[in-house]
Amino acid sequence: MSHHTTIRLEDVTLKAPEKSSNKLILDRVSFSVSAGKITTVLGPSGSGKTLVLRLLNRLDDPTSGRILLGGTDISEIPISQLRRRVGMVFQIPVMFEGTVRKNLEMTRKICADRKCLEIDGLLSLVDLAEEYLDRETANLSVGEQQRVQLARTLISQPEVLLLDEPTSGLDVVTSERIIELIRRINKGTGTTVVFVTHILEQARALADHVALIVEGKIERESPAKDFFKATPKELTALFGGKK
Amino acid sequence: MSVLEISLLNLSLSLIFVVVSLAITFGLRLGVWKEILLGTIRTAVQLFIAGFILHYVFRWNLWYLTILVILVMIMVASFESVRRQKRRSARLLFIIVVALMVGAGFSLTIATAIVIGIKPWYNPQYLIPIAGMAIGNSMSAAALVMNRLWGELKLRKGEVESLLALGASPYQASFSSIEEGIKTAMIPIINSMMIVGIIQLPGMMTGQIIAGQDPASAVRYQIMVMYMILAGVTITTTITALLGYKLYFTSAQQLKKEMFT
Repeated sequence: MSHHTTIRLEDVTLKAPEKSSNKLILDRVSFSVSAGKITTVLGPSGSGKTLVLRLLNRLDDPTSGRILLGGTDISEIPISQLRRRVGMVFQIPVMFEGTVRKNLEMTRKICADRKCLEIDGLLSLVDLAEEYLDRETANLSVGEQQRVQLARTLISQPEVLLLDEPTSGLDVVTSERIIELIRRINKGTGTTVVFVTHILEQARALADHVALIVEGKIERESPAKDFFKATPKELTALFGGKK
Repeated sequence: MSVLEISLLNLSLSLIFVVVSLAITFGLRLGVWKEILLGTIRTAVQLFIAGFILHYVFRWNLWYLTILVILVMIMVASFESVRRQKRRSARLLFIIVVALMVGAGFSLTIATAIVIGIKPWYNPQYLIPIAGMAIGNSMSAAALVMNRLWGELKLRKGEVESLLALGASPYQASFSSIEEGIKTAMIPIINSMMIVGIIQLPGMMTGQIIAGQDPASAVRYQIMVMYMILAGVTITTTITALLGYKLYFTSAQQLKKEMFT
C-alpha cells in the first residue's frame, strides 16, 4: 500500500445540475490531503461536503478545476482503477441482496484483476465476527451494515478511504466504535482517510487536518491542532460562514 | 367453404361496441372519450389503408415491395416503442431498430424459409402477416424492457452507485436491472404460451379457421408462430437491454442522474 499518495483539489467548481441555474454548489474549492493522514472535511449540512467525495471517486466530474491523485489528474487515471484506489463509503449503506458473504463475493469479483483481499478474515478488519458471513444483510443493524460496507471497500486495499458521515443515524456508543475503527485502519495500514462530517467533536477526535467548507466554499484549511485553537464561539461563527 | 363478407353497412353496426364503451366511461367520468374516439378512427383508417396497400402488394407479388413493407413495419414499431418511454432519444430509436431487425428478422427468416418453406421466399401472403406478428410482439417487448430497465435503475440508484464506486463497470452495476428488464419483457409471451388454445384462440389461428382451414392444420401454424414470437422477443429484448443500459451512463462510467429526475 502506497504511503505517498496525496490528493490536491485545485479551484474545483461545480455548477448546480439544473441547466437554467448558474448557481455554484462548489466554488473554487482548493485543499490538500496528506498521505497517510486523516483529513476531515467539516461543514454544516448542505455545504457541499458529500459532493467533494463524489468528485474524488469520480461519481461526478467538476465543472472546472482539477483534482490530482499522487500528482496525476484523476481524469487521466482509468476509471475502474481510480475507484479501487480511492474507495468510497456512503453515508447510508446500500447492501446488495443476500448474505454478507454474497456482498463481499460480489465485490471480490469486481476486484478480480488486482491483488485484492480474500474474504476470509476480512470481517475481523471491521470488528465483525466471522459468523456474520452467513447473515442476511437485510437483518443487520445500520451500524453492522456500515461495517459491511467498509469491509467491501477495503477489499481493493484502497490507498485513500473516503468516508461520508459514516456514523450518521448511529447511537453514540456505536459511533465511537466506528470512529475508533477508522483510526485503527488509518494507523494500522497507513491508508489516507478523507472523513466528511458536520460534527465538530468527531473532527476534533479524528482529524490530523481540517478543511472547513461552508456554502460550497472553503472557509478555513489548517492542521487540526491549529484549527481547534479557536474558541468554541469562534468555531460556531466559522460554521455559520463568518470569518 | 367461403368466408361470409361483412358489408360496409353491417360493419358500421360494429360501432355499437364503441358507443357502449363511450357510455360506460362517460358514466364513470373516466375522461377517456377523446382517446376512444381517436382509437376508433385510427383503427378504421389504418386498417383500410393497410388493406388497400396489401391488396396491391399481394397482386404485384414483387420481392422488393414485400421487403419495403416489412421495413416500414419495423420503423413504425421502433417509433412506437420509443414513444412509450419516459426518456426518448435518437440513440434509443437506433438501438430498437437494430434489435427488431435482428430479433424479428431472425425468427421470421427461420419461420418462413425453413419451417414453412414458402415459395417464392418473399411470397407476401405468408411473409407479411407472419412478419406482423413477429414485429408486433417484439415491439411491445422492446418497450417493456426499456421501461423496466429505467425503472429498476432509478429504484436501485444507490446500489448502482455503490457498485460503481467499488470499481464495477456500468454493465456490472446494472446487471440486476438488465436481468429484471428482460424477465419482465418475456412474461407476456410466456404467459400466452401457458394458456394458448385453452382460454384464447390466437389471431392467426382464428383467421385461418374462419377462412375455412381445418383447425388441425391451423394449430400447426399457431404452434410455430408462438415459438417464433418467443425467439423474436428473447433476442429483441436482450439486444435492447444490452445496448440500452449504456444510455444511462456517461463515458466516465457515471450514472446520468438527470435521466432519473
